[in-house]
Parts: sequence; structure tokens; C-alpha cells
Amino acid sequence: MEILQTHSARSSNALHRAMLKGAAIAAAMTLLVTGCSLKEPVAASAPISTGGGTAVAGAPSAAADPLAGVPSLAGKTVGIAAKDIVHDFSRVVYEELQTKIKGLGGTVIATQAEAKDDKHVSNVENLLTQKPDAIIVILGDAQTLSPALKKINEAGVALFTVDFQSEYSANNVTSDNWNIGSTVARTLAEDIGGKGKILVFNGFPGVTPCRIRYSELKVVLEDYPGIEILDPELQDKYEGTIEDAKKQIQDQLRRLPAGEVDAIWSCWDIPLIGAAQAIDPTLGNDIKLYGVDAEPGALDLIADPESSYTGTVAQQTKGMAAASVANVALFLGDRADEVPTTSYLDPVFVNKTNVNQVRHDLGI
Amino acid sequence: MSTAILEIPGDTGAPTPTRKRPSLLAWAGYGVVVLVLGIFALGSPYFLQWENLSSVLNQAAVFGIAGIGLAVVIITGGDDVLEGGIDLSVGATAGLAGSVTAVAAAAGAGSLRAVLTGLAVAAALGALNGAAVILGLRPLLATLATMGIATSLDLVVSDNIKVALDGGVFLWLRQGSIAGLPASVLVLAVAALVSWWAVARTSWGVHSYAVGQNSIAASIAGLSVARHRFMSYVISGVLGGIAGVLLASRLSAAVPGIGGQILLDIILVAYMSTVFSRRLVVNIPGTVVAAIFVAGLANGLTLLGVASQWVGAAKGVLILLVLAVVVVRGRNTAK
Repeated sequence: MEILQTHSARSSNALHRAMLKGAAIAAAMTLLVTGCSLKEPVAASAPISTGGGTAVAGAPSAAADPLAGVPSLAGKTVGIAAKDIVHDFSRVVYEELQTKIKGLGGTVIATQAEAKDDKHVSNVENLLTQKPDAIIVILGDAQTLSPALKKINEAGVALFTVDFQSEYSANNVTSDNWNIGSTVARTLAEDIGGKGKILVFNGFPGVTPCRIRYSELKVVLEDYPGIEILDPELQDKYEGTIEDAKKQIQDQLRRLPAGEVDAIWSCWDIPLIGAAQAIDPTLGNDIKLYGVDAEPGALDLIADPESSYTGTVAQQTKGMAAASVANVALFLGDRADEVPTTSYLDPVFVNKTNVNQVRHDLGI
Repeated sequence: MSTAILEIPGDTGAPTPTRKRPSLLAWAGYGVVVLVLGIFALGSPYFLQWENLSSVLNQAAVFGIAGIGLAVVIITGGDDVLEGGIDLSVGATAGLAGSVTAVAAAAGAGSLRAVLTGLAVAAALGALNGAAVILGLRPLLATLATMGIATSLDLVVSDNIKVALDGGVFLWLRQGSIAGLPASVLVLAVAALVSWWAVARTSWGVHSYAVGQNSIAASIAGLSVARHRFMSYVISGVLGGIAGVLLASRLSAAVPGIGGQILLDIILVAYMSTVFSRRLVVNIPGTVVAAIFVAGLANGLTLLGVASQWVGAAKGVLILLVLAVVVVRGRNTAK
């Protein structure tokens, strides 16, 4: 009876919320013709077929559909707090998480912080006041988010993270950034013959994946003493990244003697798209670009044999979302002992020879 | 000196005009806000819970305090967006003050000295703005230049990494409370009360409005336009600095480049304060109400389950709705 009353009350509340939400959205649609920054919605994912994608022991297997056999999320509410949906990685994870949670019968409250740290904290706090059963945080910074995550922990709400390690998280789904960082660095070093000068975009040394990838670059270059990182390192920005990076590289090409730069490194693809736009129209520049994330724009350039864009790393974004939702379902379904602390999904390295195959395999 | 504009009409022997009671329309701004918040309360059982209200007030504190500083600049410089008082550097000043405070604290300066160092830098930037404006530079351009300086210094001081700010007074600012009120809200309340008293209850405040509404008349009446405007930018700098320290405390770190992210909301709450004024002028209490309303909008829409990508649009529509009240009221007043 109590359950029925609760259900009835919830239905009533849900009806109210739906009506108000509908009114708010209708008003917004009627009065604003806005160019939404979101790209096309992402369809429900197909099982990922790749030589890479498997999780560590205890984690769901991406290739074998991690959601098979997990408990339903019916009656459960899951909050999502994404740091941003600016680049493809977070946008796809954000959309896919919602699709998968709904697919298991759960209710989603989704927020994204437009890459603003204070908004990310506010979103987490706002989600917590709604007392969801679990909250999934996509990306973030341990320093600024930890106080809010501690509140989640103290409130007894299960916390899950994607590509963001936190002491309060029941599970973090991530790619192995040490592997990504060292492999990109080794590839770069070998491609330029173990000697030369490189430019580095290093605007986000405090963001964990970037910090790890950059430190791996430095470690690898210790064994390639003929390679020098040019000073000053470049500062990439989170907004207007492509245009800003394009200008920075154009300026560097004017400043430095011809042939001085052999490669450009970045912990993500977006600034390198701008860099390629600066380099590709010029003649006589044999500069190779290496990034991470497999942004569609970057993949297009890598597929172009004339482009300087040489390599990137694809993360299994849809697989990561599916793995995270599977872990949430297991945790809330009283199977917490099956949830690993970290679920690693193998990255896939993309270059000019395998780009089309990887795009086909991963559906990116 | 200032008696010329404060002369009491009754002294001339003419009948003293009776003050009209404000029409109901004068309260329309508050009415729309109450209506919107009421919808949120009906739509979500969590909205009116103290835990949530406390969170909203907490989120409003930074924008409220920095908005008060900007409101003082607009009051003293006039509300013409292009020619009047504006401080585009207030967000960057907040960011820089937070970074300086965090770096000083990390260097072992102690909480009080660290905060004072941050505020001193913010005041210096305000003084730079004030000096540029009284030298004849357009406030819009002068403060745009200062914004660039502060943003760049922020990156230099912080080395473009987040600088931890925890413990002591900063921890208290983040999660402390007195009588159930979060510490940051208390700081907002103190800043608002002091500013309101100074602007609405002192001759300095009356003169500031006079300078802002007609600088030539104020100058003829013997007021020092330059001094008032200079001081308004220093106040804006200091309040921006306080907001920056609060923000860094809230995030437990100074975040490089955060100033640019908070600027638009600060400008919004300062200009939106006109809605909550019977005379349709920028004012201090209205700025605080606007800050709480803007923070409440994002919170309420999230509680209603509006998809995140629509929150900005829905928030914009509701703000337009509130601002439309000003237009309607303005037309009615003109008739």
C-alpha cells in the first residue's frame, strides 16, 4: 500500500513536472530561435566491434555488450553531471549514458556545465538535492569537485565517474591514459626519426587526462634526447579553440625559421584541427600532428593524405557509457561486489593507414 | 556644496507635492519572480527545502557581490551601456584576486594576509580603471583593456594551473554557517547591507546617483564627478576581489581564466536590478534579488527536469519575461 501511495505520488509529481517541463520548453522554442551547440543526436549504440575494446577483469566486456544480464533500472533515478559537451568525447558519452539508462527503464536527470568549473559544482549540488539513486560525473577536476562529491558520499548516493578518478567514486570508467600518452609520444618520436623540435599545446596541465598524457610525453622524450620541446609551450583555450590555435600556429610559423618544427603535440584533437588549418595550405612544411580523442574533424584530416594531421587516439566512448551504466545497474541491483573500482577500456590508435577501418569498426 | 541639489522645495513657499503611492505595476518585477519561483515550488517538492534554498543562495553569493560592485559603477557612471559606467574587468578581477589569494596562501602568507593581498590587487585594478576613466577613456574600452591585463596576470600568477585553496577561513567560507546561513550568504548579506546603506542613506550615495544621471548638472552643483567615478571603480574592484576569494573558496581552488566565465552573469544581475526599482534605476537590493533569481532559475529548471541544453534558453526566456515588465512599466510611466 505504501509502495502504491508512493508510486501514485511519484506519478502525480512526474505529471506535474512533465507539464511544467513541457510548458517551459514550448515557451523556449516559441520565443527563441537558437542555434543549439549540440550536434546531431547520437543514436543508440551498436555493439562495438574492435580488436581493442575489452575491460579489465571483473568489468563488463564492451565487445560482449556490458548491459546483457544486468538488473533493470526501473524506478531508479540517475543524475548525470557532464563537465561539457563541447567536444565529441564528452558529447557522445553524455548522450549515450542517457540512452542506456532509459533503455534499462531508469529516469535520467542530465546536466552539463559548459566547461565551467563553478557550474559543474552547482550542477552536482542541484542534482543531489533531488536525491537520485546514483549520480554519474563525466570528466571533472578532483580539486574543485571533491567537496561536492564528498556531500554525495555523505548523503548515501552512489557516485560513478567517467574518465575522472575520485576517491568517492564507486567506479570510474576510463581509457588507460598512461598507455595513450606513452604510445602517442613514442609514435611521434619514431615518426620524426628520433630527433627534431616539437611544439606542444599544454593549456590544461591541471586536467587529469592531459596531465598524464603530457607527463608520459616527457618520460618518453627522456629516451629521445635529440627531440626538443620548443619554448614557450602553447596555451590552448577551451572556447574558440580551433580559431585560436590556428592563429597561434600561424604566428609560430612566421616566428620560427622554415623547417624548424617537426611535429606538434596536444592532449586533445581540437587545437590540432586549427593547427592543421594553418599548416596544410602552406608549402614545404613537413610537420606532423598528433592528438587524442578521434574528433570527427581530426579523423577527416587524417584520412586526407595531403593533411599534416598524422595520428590520434579513439576512445570507446559508447562502450565507456555502456560500461558505466552497467556498473550503476549492478550496484543498485545489489550486485555491488561485481563492480570494479576502475573499468579500463582499451584505446584504439588511429593513423593514416587504419583511419577508415577504425571509423567503420567504432562507428565514429 | 551639495545643498544646491538637496534644496527642500517647501522653503520656497510653494505647496509641497504629495508623493504618489506606487502603483501595483511597480511591484510587477517582484510579482513575476514570485510567480516563476512558485511554479518551481509546485513542480518540484525539493525546491523549497532549506537544503536546496541554501544551495541557491550559496550559488548567488559570488554574482551578487560582484554585481553590487558593478551596480555602484553604473549608478555613478550612468546606465548608458556604451557611454555610461561599466566595468568589464570585474570578472577577470575576481579571477585574479582568487589566484593571488591562493598563491599567497600556498606561499605561507596566512589566511588574512593572503586575502588582503588578493583584495589589494583587486583594488589596484579598480584604481587603474578609475584613473583611465577620469582621464577621458571610454569605460567600455578602458575596462576591456584592464580585463585583458587581469586575465593575463591570472595565467601568469597561477602558472595556468588550479591553485588549491583550503583550510582555515577558506574552508569556513565554503562550508561554514552561522544560524543555518551559509558563510558566503552572510558575506553577501553584509556586502549588500553596507552598500545599500552607503548608496541609499548617505550623501555620497545621493551624489553618486546625481553624477550618474547628469554629470554636467552635478558638476555645476559643485560635486566632484571625477572623484565619485574613481571611487566607484575602486569599490567595484574590491567587491570583485571579495567575490573572487569566495569563488575560489567555494571551488577549493583558484581556477585560471574563470573570470571570463562569470562576467555575463555579473552584468546581467546588475542591469536586471532595474526591474526591482520603483524608479527603474540600477540599485543594490535589486541586484541581490536578481542574483538570487538567476541562480534560482538554473536550479529550478534542473529540478523540473528541463534538459540541460534547454536550460540556457528557458532561462533566457524567463529573464526576457521579467525584463519585459520594465518596458511595460516604462510606457505606463511615460503616459
